[in-house]
Amino acid sequence: MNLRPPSAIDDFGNTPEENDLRQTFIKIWNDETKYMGEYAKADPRFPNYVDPRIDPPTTGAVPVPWNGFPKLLSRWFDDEASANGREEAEAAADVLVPKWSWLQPDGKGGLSVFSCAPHQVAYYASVLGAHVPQIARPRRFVNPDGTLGAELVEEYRQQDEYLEWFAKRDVQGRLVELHFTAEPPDYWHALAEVSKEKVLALYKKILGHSVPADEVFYAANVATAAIDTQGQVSWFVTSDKGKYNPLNVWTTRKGIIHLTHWANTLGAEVNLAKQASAVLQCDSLPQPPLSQPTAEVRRIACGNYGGINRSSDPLIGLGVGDHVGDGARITLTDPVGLYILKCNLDGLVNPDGKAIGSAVRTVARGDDHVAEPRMLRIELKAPVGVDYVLGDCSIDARRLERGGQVARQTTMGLYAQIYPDSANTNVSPCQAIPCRNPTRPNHFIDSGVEDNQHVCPVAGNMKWLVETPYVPTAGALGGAGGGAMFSTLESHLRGHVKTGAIQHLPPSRSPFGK
Amino acid sequence: MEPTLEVDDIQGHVLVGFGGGHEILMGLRFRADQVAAGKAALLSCIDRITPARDSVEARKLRRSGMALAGPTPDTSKAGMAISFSHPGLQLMGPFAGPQDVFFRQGAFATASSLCDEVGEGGLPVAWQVGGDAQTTPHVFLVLAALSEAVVVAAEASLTNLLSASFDVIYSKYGRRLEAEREHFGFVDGISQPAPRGNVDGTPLINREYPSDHPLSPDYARPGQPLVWPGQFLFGYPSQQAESNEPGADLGGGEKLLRNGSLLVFRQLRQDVSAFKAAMKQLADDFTAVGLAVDDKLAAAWCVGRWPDGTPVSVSPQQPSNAISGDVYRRNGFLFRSKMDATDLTDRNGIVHPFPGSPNDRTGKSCPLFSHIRKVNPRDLAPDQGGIGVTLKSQMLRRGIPYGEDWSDATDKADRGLLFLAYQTSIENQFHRLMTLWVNNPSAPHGQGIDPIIGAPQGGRLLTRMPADNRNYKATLPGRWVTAAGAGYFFAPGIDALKAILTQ
Repeated sequence: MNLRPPSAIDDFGNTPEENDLRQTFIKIWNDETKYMGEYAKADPRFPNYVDPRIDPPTTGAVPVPWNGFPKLLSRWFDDEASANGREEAEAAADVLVPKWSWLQPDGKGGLSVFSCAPHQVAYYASVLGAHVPQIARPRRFVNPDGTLGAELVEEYRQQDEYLEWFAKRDVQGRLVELHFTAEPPDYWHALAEVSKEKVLALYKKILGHSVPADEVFYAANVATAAIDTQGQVSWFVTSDKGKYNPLNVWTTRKGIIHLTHWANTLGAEVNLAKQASAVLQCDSLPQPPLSQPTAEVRRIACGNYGGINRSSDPLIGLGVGDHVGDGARITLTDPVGLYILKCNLDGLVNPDGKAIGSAVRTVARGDDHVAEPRMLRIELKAPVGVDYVLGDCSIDARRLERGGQVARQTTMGLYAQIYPDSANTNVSPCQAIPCRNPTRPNHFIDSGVEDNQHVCPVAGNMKWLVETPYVPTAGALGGAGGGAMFSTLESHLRGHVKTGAIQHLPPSRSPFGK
Repeated sequence: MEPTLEVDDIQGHVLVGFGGGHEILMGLRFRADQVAAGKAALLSCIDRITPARDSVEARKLRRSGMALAGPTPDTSKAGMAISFSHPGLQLMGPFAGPQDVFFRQGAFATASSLCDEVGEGGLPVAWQVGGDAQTTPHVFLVLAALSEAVVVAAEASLTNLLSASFDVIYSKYGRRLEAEREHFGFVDGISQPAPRGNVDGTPLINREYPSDHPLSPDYARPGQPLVWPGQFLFGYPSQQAESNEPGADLGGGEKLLRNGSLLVFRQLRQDVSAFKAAMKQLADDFTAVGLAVDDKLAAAWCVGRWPDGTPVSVSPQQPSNAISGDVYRRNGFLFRSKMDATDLTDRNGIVHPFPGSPNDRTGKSCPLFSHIRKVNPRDLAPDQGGIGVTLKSQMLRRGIPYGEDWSDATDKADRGLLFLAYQTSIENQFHRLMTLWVNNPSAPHGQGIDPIIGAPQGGRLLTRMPADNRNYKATLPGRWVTAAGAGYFFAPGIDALKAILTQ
């Protein structure tokens, strides 16, 4: 049994050459060492997750839904209680987060790539060492002569509910189109292994214009900094020239093809479902009162899977856990994907007050099946021939200005199937506890992961940076006023870089990092 | 520490409701150049407005059996509530009411987002009231009494007082049907959230769990969650999504909002004949795909309760007098958690054994698409996040049926429900509940659009997954609940009302 890509999408034609490419894709997608072939494999640590290729399910598919707007931002900005919280959260959702990387000894004699947002460097310095701020920074291209070249712009969206969007504006800054995607990058990596030309052709089809190959694939080797115990900085190649760049500008700054947030991958989804399928120590506790963290928050901390402040991960985990608690094993339904189940545009009206939701929406990729929708890409733009643009319209009594307004009206989901009366009921102990932010009572962190201590961080503890959104402000690192710090870092690095110091990391190192 | 509720200032209809069996809703518009006179006229009848203290007292009397279902302690007197639309407030002075965007736009502007039938320009079709700016009442009154004669007399008296300054553009009579049922035949209004807060040092809603019971911090009694009053009244701490600590005052401390609330009114027409025919058809369709169902069970699945109020999740096969007749058992259930047996103590100190109830996490007994699960998923974390989101979406519902009792399949008379609900955010309560849950087949837990009040959008595809874990699907075409009028109003505290009328 071959597993299908999300929404069973088929981007290949019917010529013999395309059929060959299709077969190659199916083979790669089902390779036992990567993509769905690897993801779907049973893991003895999680016996309640079933490999559907070995034990095909016979029960109906069950949706597990969540809202598409980043819950972390809702929690952070308290967007229902504070006066401007809603607008602040929606604005923050549109901020592209710089991805800074560095290399860290992995304890086995090698190096691992670590990545984080600029404002989180201080936290990693507190747990990994004071050297981190010296080397955490954008990766750089390697010049043909082996010297360090320009910085690679790597950014991702802090839209971490497996739904991301891009707002297309005209020269006057008016919102003209909104593009939403739920496509994981995994599919595009696999496609790039099959055919770069196919990737470029699909980019052209989706974006409406061709894009240069070296803006989609790395134009040169890309290097990441490391530092040894003597303080010597070295650079190692962590991405090879010609490989697919999952944070390329056409899926970040200039458009959107697939998801970019580091957690928004298909592999992460399946891994989450696997981990959540364990019977956890917290499952036997009574329903906590609201004075304690709620069930899905408590469970995600206990099981140590996913992002605690999201809608998606805690709800997926609780959904899986509830079925397991009822005695069932579980698998994700083929084709496995993160899907747009419903994008509610009933409240979208044109400047005359006329409802236009159905006229502006196109399902560009995926399937809007009435019973089990599996939409991957939705595009919104004003109907042809009208004298207004999308930004002239209103949604739910507010001028449509940002994609987050639509994301709030979007229901995401995945599908699972169960195997009744077969669960392994061995109880796994909790690995962490949920900690409430002392200054933001609806915001959490799980404690006990790194330090193995169930002690909640106090207000101001660096650990909170892990769950803090990136909000550039004047004077902040990565923001407009961050020049002084940046220059210091730059001169420091330049002072230590030597021609010829750039080495290749072994190919098994993940370019995604932690 | 729960706040003291200012029951001499809060309107009784908001906080407690009118127990009267008969109500008249009146929509008034200022006559041209009569705003000042109209304000004076309203000021002259301000003593008719029922404060919450009277409603609390009347409720005590009702529950002690010393009085019939009157809205005030004096059963010969009508209860009255008053509220204003945004344009109404604007006419009267600088105070424009809450910032809520839906309140400010008016109900007609949100008709399309609620899937009401709209015509060109997005305006609702054939509403009896509130269909556009010209038919939106400036002032909205709720009159209630123990008898039809008293409420009619109250309306006549008010009309006499106000007619020189106002046009009465809407008057609708509603009444409780036998056994508190709505026109489809189901007992209504069983489940209400319990606002936290004290009246004269005593909780407004009695806490019936033993104080050391794990649910006592969150529930007044089984199935009735405690909610911070700021979800319903400005000037008080609101509910937080993930914490039982008191949240912000959603009124931002604005003095004229204090003790006030936003009222959503919708005249919902019910086509009983269509509903009953659809339930028969739904039963046949489910039976055709392998689920043996009759129309009574199909309807119970759609509502989530049997007609007598028995929850389907507690009694999946048939209604139970033992459950529906027990004030604790008929609402004493959760969906995610099984409820254990415990003793409950009522306001009079009488102990009632509660036998507990089963859970139904995955909809094996009560379908996920059922109306009561769509509008209140209780302790089952919804798509929006934790159960606090559900609490934050709840409203104080004060609806009452209108129209004659349904007779037979040929009876197409105008009847339905005068839906009235108080809250502090239309956007995050009524509107979110309708758009993101009721009319969304995928949320809060999927398997179909609300079969009772949802908009079909080409037919409601319902997925039923009983204990065999297979999906059975049936389509439910047609619509039997439609809006025939609506309005969004602000019901001020009585002191604020005086200030508004004298500004």
